[in-house]
Amino acid sequence: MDFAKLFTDSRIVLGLESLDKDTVLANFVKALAENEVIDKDSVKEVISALLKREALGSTGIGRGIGIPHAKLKGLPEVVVAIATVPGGVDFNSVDGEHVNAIFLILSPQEDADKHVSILKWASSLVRNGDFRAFLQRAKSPAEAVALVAEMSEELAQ
Amino acid sequence: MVEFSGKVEVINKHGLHARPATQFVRVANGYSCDISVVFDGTEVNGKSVIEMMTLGAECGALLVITARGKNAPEAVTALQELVSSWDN
Repeated sequence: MDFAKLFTDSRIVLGLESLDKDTVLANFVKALAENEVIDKDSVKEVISALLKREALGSTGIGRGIGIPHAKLKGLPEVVVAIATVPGGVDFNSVDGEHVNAIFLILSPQEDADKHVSILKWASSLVRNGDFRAFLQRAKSPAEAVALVAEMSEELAQ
Repeated sequence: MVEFSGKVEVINKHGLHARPATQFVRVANGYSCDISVVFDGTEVNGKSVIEMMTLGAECGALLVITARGKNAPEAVTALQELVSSWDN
């Protein structure tokens, strides 16, 4: 599956304010509801599912990246979204670094099989230092979408 | 330098997702030796969660763990035991 196709401008949230981790995640989810990526009525449920997963162990995977994720009942399809937090947020990451880019993954409970392949794609993008640097410099969601598409294509080759 | 390798199969249903990858790296980082993992022809650093997840190792994947340096055999054994203990 071409996961880069899951990205549209509405799934990119640039410049989240640097607050505590729970608040940053909540603000990210609320922004996605505002952009009509997720149902406004599901905001509470999504935030609580993400925080519940974080409580099992931080999804701060190092190099300034966090990949909060959750499985949700009745979600029509996988949602992948990216946010940047220019000032960084303490994620209790595996390498101790603050997170400044968040890859959010929401999967339908009934269709969790794709999870490892989504992680493979996302981690292949973020292992690339150029990708991480360009993402921070993106001036608009459209620029970030183009970056994801371009890098994904490069990886597929 | 001591080099030691061992194979282990990923037996948990959801494969090498974020939590197991993080556990793997935390155990690997407890050793000073270099640790690499090969799956499907790709070799990655066993001390990086991001690199471990790029393997996309699903249930049934056979990983080859190689440690080079101090306590290499112990490191490989500990990681094999960890991978075999995953149940989700």
